[in-house]
Amino acid sequence: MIQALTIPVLVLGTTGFLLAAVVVALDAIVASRIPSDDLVSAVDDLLPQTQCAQCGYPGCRPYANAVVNGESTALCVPGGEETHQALTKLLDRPEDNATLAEPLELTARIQEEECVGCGLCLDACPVDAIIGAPQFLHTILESHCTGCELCVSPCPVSCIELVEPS
Amino acid sequence: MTDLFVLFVGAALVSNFVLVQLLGLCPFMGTSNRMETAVPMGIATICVITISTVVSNALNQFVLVPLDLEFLRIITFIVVIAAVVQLVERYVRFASPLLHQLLGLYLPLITSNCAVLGVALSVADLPLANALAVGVGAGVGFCLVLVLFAGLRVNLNHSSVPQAFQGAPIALITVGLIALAFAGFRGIF
Amino acid sequence: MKDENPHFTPMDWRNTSAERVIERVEEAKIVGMGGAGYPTHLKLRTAIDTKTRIVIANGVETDPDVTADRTLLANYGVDVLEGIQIVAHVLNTTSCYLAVDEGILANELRNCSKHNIRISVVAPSYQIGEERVLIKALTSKVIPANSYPASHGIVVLNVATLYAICRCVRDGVLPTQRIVTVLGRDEWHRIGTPIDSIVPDIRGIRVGSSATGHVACSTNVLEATHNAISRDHSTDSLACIRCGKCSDACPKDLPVERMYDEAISTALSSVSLLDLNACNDCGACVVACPSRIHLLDHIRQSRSRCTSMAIRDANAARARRRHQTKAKRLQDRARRDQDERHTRMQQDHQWL
Repeated sequence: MIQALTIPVLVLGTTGFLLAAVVVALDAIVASRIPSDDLVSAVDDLLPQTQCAQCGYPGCRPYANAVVNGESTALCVPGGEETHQALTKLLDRPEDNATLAEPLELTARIQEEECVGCGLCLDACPVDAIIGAPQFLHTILESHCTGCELCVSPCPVSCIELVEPS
Repeated sequence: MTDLFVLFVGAALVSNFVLVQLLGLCPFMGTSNRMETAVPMGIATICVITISTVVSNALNQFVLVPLDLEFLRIITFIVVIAAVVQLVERYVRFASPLLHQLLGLYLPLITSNCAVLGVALSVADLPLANALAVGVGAGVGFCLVLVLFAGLRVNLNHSSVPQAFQGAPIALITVGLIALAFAGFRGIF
Repeated sequence: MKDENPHFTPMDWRNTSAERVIERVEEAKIVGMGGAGYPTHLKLRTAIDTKTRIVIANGVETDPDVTADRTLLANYGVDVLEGIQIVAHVLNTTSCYLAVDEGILANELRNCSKHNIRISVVAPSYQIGEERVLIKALTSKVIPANSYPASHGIVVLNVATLYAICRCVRDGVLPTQRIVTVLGRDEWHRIGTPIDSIVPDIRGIRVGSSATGHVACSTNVLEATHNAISRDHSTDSLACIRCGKCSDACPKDLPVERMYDEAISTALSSVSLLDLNACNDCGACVVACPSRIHLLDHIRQSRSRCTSMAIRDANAARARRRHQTKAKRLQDRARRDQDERHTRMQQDHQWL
């Protein structure tokens, strides 16, 4: 009677224990390697790369990182509803109720007669789309401008405005 | 060698575990929405079925039968399958976190894929090599119909289906039609 | 044909060098009037350097409601034949073909032709008007998809182009007019005429044939490549009945039905730009569609949508690259500043 019980229990227990040991050992090996961050890259690829920081993070990659770690997917203003839905689809998350406004495609333009050449906007531009030297007139490379508005507020003479791309 | 090939083709096409024996329909319906999930899910299932069939067949032959413990088959095999699924899950999470995210719950749920247990049980008494052939065949067959069906479902997404049939109903009808087509393979042998 | 005053001095082309004739064609700015609008002198210059040279005049009318080329051949066949001879003279070849799709027309042309131009009647099918198909039918040569026939020495010219060449070389007349099928009637119109002065009511009108043309708007003018102004049959199109005739008709074997599905649904992401770019806008699917859906319009629309999406992605990739470069530069500068400050402090310590 005892034997009839112990053998099955022993067999099952040993099998389970050995297999569990294999899994745990593999876990230890996997944990010691740095996981690749292709999920962050996949999220980053869906973002519009304006680097506008309107989501509260300093650029698109940091926001992608935050989204993967649980941040809301509805913070990207230039991406709008399209990006929001693409993100929820990728991550298989429920959609946030916030409906985002249709994004505007704008580029910044410097009103050249008012620019004093202070160079503050050069530092603000996240994509190096503004060229110019100190004390000289600056201008914006329209093809490289992402319309992020980061250069508007640093300007001391408010000579930068956002316009429809020509 | 010919025997093994016949077993392989038989398991993959003639008595396909999904479409002919109607096993493992849950992950089949769940992961065939998108091609990006169907292909990795199919490959993961090939790995799980192959490894778990071989391991459980060996366990049955060399442990359970000599000890006269064949009544423990189901529970032992489930333990084996669960462990193999965990291994595959670890590997996927390590190799591609994006894929892990896409597959979501369906990856650990391969454990409860009855096709896996079905294959392991149906070949438990065969020699090891034959069990391997059936295991690989069953996995390839599952992967094949999963990818075929995912391709059809991608097209279904774009077509105008009557409202009452949208979603699961039209998908099930499509499965039925593919199953009918697969019945044609019975003529091979 | 309205009267035209000669712009150049008429040329005795038989006793003129090939280069001089090509220069005249270039000065007159003659372009292919069949549809693509490729400059004819470039085509001739490409072909003149090749080994075997063949001239093919394309007089095949494939669109169901266009008769311009046929009428041109019937009324000005002599001029077109002389145009072929001019091109043959330029290329110094004797193998010339004229492809037409009507037996009676071919016989008439044969009667007035005393030259070695082979006038062949091709079986009417929608695709025969496409130059590669025509070349294969006449000479059984296959032109690879990645090169133009002219670089293999085969010059395919529309009969309207040949007429223009003849008039400008022989008579010195600039090609300022072309024959157009206007709602079924063949008329001569000056190139550049606003469409709404040819057809007063441009609603439901397409510029070009009903299959390949685009919907007319008030700013359109007649271009050299427009061989017709036709009625738009797709204004009252019905629902797609999924018969698959469009995909069957497609000479490039594209999944037209699926491309249409994806064009009308919002999810465009799975449309492959490869398929859209492989389409050469022949319009066979439009002719085949029993529901009169203008599939080509949809394909063109999704092509432009896809292209703008590709541009947007490219811009995003460039913005990311520039952002990363800037971040790295700032980081490097900060580190350099810190190092400098450090060394300066150490120097100050030494002095002390």
